[in-house]
Amino acid sequence: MAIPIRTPRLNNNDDVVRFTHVHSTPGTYVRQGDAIAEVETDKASVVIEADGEGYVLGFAQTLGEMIPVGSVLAWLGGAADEPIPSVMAPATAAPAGTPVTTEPTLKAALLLNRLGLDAADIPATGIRLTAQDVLAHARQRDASAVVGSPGARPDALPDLAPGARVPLSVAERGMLKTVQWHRDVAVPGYVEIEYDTAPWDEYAATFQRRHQLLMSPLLPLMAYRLVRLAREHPKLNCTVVDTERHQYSAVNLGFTIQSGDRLTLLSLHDADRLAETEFVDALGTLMRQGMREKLTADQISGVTVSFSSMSRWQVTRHIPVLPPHTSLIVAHAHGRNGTSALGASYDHRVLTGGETALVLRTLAKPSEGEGRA
Amino acid sequence: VSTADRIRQKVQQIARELGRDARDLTDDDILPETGLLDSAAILELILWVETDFGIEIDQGELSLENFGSIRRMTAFIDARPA
Repeated sequence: MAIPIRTPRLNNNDDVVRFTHVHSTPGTYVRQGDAIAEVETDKASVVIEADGEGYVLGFAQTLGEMIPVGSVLAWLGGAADEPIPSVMAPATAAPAGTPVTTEPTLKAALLLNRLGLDAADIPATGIRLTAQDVLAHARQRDASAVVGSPGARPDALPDLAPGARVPLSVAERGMLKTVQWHRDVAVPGYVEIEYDTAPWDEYAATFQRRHQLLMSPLLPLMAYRLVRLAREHPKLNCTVVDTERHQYSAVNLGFTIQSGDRLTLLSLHDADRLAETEFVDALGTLMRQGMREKLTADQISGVTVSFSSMSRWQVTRHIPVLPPHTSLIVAHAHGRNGTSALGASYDHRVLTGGETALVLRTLAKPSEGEGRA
Repeated sequence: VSTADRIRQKVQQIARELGRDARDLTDDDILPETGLLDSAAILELILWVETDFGIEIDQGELSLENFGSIRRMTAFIDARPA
């Protein structure tokens, strides 16, 4: 049963607020207190938190737009693939401090779903039907309905040593989802070549001098080469759906950055439509936003092909995990004595090791055109 | 503590975290050429400047001329009202 999260009132004078940030993308499992989204007015900004656990099913509003107070902002549900109600008119703005609906709280709704109960059959002790109301009703009806029910979560696995449960952060849950897709859906392979780093180093140094850049553009330039290859070779920019290849119409580049202890896969949309200098600039801007942890949903989703580097940690080889619904992620590593390893994880359902190695051979050198940039 | 001292300490701290020693860095050394800080570390430094000095820096201002060395950074920050 999908539960709406409504747009809060930030102050008495504003009946609309701007939807500014998505903190938990659709499919993310959230617990009470986890940040879901952010809205603001001229005077204030508020992070909207989950009031219970569940999966973010989707957003009912468009990021960046002004939205009415009381309208449905997002949907939470008990399962990631639960359908979102198709029609839901925005609620009328409610006076400050009053609840906008009499529906069950998220906890109550999840409990109703788990126990197979109907909200209409249970009297609420307050304005909204709470989990306590549901539990009280269930205990009255049948004490065994809660304890030991098939859907109940076990408190601990029997073979675990004693310890405490620590909820995963939003970023950790995102990583969990990624590695699970890599393990359960893709058929991952990995190939690697050794290459001479001098041509790229020279090209990046020339580019940096010419454009007076503060930071080395080496990785963005290599990533741009990958974008162009993905545009020329559709199999690098696709995924498998059932027995078909789903060919992405644009190249959205995934680029990993580390901010503190958090690894983020940035998504630069329509990267193939940018000229080289535009791309370097756009990726630099996106990286700064990522380091500030000020990313919109678009900027961390929709990746179609990816580039990852661990050279800053002097890692000489790494085998990256494939981001969900992509067929290729290139792994750049630290070089020694003028050579380095360039690797790639690929989805064997789409690409062969030989095809991937050819991509790496091409990527190992700046193209003729790029050499004159 | 002067602006230059604060920047120098921060550069040394970031370099140390990367396992590098920046104690010999002079105020005129061009940071990207020293190899002490990689691009991500320079980004971290820029974010620190924005936060610690309360200024906003446009992408177009991220040039060697403005941030290439401790001295250039100091001049840029001191000339910018917080």
